Amino acid sequence: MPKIENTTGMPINLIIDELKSDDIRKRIHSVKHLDLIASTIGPDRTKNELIPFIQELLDDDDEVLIELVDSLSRNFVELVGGQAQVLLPTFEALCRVEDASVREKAANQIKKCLTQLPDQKKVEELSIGIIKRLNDSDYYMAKNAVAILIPAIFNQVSQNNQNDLINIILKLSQDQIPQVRKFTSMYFQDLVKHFPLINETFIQNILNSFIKDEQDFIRMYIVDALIQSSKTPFFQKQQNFILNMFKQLAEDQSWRVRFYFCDKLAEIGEAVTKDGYRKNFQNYHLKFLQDAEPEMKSIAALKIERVSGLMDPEDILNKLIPLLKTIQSDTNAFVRNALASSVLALCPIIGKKNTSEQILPIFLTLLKDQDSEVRITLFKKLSLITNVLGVDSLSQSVIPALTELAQDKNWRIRASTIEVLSFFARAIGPEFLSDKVLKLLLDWMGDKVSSVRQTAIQQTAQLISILGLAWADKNLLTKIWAFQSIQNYLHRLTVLFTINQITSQLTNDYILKTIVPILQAMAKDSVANIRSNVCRTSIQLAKEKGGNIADPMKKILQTLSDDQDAEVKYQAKSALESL
Amino acid sequence: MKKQDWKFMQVFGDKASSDNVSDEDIISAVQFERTGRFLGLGDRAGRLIVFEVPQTKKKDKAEYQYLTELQSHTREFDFLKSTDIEEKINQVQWLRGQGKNMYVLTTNDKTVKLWKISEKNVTKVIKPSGKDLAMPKLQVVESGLIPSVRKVFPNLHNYHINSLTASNNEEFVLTSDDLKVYLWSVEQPSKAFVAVDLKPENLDELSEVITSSTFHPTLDNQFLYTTSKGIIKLCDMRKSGICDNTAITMAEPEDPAKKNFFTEIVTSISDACFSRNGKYIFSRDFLTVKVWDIAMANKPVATVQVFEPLKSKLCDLYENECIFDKFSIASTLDSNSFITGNFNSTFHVVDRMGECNQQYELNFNKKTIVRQIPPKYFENLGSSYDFNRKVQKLSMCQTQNLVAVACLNCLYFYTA
Repeated sequence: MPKIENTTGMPINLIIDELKSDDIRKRIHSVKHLDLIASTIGPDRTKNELIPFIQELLDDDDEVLIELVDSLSRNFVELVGGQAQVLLPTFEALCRVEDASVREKAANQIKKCLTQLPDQKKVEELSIGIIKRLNDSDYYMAKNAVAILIPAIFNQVSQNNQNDLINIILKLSQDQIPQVRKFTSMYFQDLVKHFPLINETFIQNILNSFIKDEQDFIRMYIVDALIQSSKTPFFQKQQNFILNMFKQLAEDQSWRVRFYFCDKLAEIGEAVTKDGYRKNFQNYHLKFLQDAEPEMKSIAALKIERVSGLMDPEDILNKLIPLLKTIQSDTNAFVRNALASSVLALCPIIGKKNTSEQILPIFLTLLKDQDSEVRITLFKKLSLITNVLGVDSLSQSVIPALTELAQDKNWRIRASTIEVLSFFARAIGPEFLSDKVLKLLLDWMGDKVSSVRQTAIQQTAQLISILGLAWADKNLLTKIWAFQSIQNYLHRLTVLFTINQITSQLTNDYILKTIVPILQAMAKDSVANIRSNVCRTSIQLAKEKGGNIADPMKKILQTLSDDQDAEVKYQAKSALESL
Repeated sequence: MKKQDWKFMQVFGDKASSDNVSDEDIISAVQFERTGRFLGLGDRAGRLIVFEVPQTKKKDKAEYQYLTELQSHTREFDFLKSTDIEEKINQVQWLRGQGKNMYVLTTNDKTVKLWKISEKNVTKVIKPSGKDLAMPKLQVVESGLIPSVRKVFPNLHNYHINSLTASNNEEFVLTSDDLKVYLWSVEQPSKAFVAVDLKPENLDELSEVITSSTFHPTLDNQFLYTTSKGIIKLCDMRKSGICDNTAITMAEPEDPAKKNFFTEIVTSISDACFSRNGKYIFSRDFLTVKVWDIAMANKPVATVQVFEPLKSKLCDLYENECIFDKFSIASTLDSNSFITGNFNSTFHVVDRMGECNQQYELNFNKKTIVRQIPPKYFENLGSSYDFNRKVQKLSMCQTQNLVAVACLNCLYFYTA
């Protein structure tokens, strides 16, 4: 592999020393560049010196360990000359640390290394060794990796070893420490994929013991295991068992378990097919929409988008939509927000007439919601309803709402609303960007807050890329160029910033015809800041466009190199030199 | 119910040091580790001191020995409010150890920290890497029990943290301040969840604050919190996200006839705990302990006057501000009694029916000085009654009848 270039500005031996620096930031920096060290000293020395030295780094803060595992995950197999097994002891040690993300990454890296070893027998020997050592460790958190590794290698080992691994899982699932049972439950979904190597009785026994567990976070993950097992032949054989267990979880007394179930409804629906969903789970979703706990209503509302594809349109009309009327006026904004993000997905399914009668009222209510976040979320999904009802019929209600948001006291709301415009342009097309909407964009370009102006300029660039330069020039750009004559220099600057942003989308002809005169005029502006920015814009145009643009730009810069302001003069001169 | 006889076992501290106590040495938190092998102590100087029972071949009750200490918190300045943040440790909670590593949570008024104490070798580079790019040579400079901060729970509380408890499964940590109760994930300190929010729309209308909170000893989804109005709320995290709406309220209605100037102050609950079996709640306010049966929320099953003579001294106590002192309470292992501290170096062990109130007096003579306090007891508290010798913090061991009681800068162990 090609040698890694040292771009740190530090000599390699200093980077090596700083691996043990007292300053944590220096240690992190050095750990980030382990690949550089390895590449410099070569694979043999990396194998014999660097990797053993890394053992000394394992007793460090979580922040450093997170960097370490990431660093070792990039190309290190190549850096040790392709001998992946050299890295295994380090990753095994990292499976024992306190930080869960480090343990998981380390376990996944062990998986990756094992796949790169050619000798199958060796793989079996090494993996069983690692699993047994971690399982016997004093550190109970090491069992996390055991739960991750066993499913990964299960089908590659002998029958005897498989029996041992099954026994390990059995013991872990009954461990007295809840976290250990949690690890087992989280990764059981990977183990069930090996059915029928993992037999029916075993799966049922484990799931039965988990569902009786008093810990919420252990029952929760059964959902994933059930989904995965539904994708295997286990489903045909034990359909009732799986469905009953799903139902128990949907009715769990802990709302967090019900929440997790609801979150996975779409995946459950796919696994049990539409008929299965309608018969068994549809009612639960409808119940969740009426749950006393606001978090439940929120997740149920959020899932409408994905679950609606599984439902019969009749049911959507008769059973689902009536419930939404209460949700649209829920006291919790996050519930209404969830509704706003997914209710419009129903429009294409139920057709024009029903949309107009049933969804449009909900849409209009949410459009006037007191919480601006809700309104913005609704806007982002606008195309779903305009595709069904048409833009014109809606613009009467949408434009005023958009205008209100555009003038919101909170500048962050104004900035978010601007981003909605490109949604419109992309999904609906230029008809939506009527005079009124474009006026809003121009108002944003003249907003008091510079972040808002920035966002507006970026949106302009987006609109040009979606709708084309000709459209933009006719409807938008000419008006922006008019900003040149505004008294407040900040708005005149907007002209220049806009040119900077849209350079790549301008044609040379357009530049010669329209931009050059602007720059020539602004080069004579009384405010030095403007003239300074003219320099910047000119040099950018010259460099990016070249050709027949370079000369007029040079002329402008030459005029400015005689400027009375020292800064402008310096800028113009160095710009000319670089050309 | 069998009466429990507690006997003096051990003391750390002596008369000399106790007569001249410097403020920073005063013990502000005590907690046994779950196996009883270790005990953690926090003081006003922000230190965490760990004691252990050394593992010897002898089977009889071994004594505690000093093991190690660390500086947990230091004094900080809150720039936004222009006030000092004291380093005083408010609470200590042990988490399950791994191998030889110990994990302890400590908190001051604002910040919770997770400490790890482990056998480590601290190394130093004695020969740096040179032109040959060899690995640096290391040498061990220090070996032994080294503490390190593993996690810091970011400054979230607007007011002073009054309680810190870990759930039995150690996935969650519960902290409470005057207005909010937060649920933290031990794994990810950056994620905190508001479990209870007492903040009124208009802060001027504030009439009730949270005074303490604690998890149920075995059920990880239940916790209680107490307020300054003498109300206990039992919350179930399974029922709802924000737990206050679905909580069971335990409060005794106020008797207007008995109301006086001090009523509001003395009804504020200073600490409450579940009995070990989870069936009862013991709540301590300034003068009394109320025993509640979880199944009956409308009135307590017993109200015990801890030490009645204090009632006649309320004016003095208000003058010297001792009326605002907070006392801890703990349940015995069999759930049939509770232990709570008092003034004048005394603590009380009372059965949960309130029939037998025994007062123990702490002393440096290794003696167990105990007397029975009958109901309706009166005594003239003379000038020798020392209000400065407060027994505010204590901790019950979870594996044997052993209680650690702190008075000023001294730590006493009693067993039954």
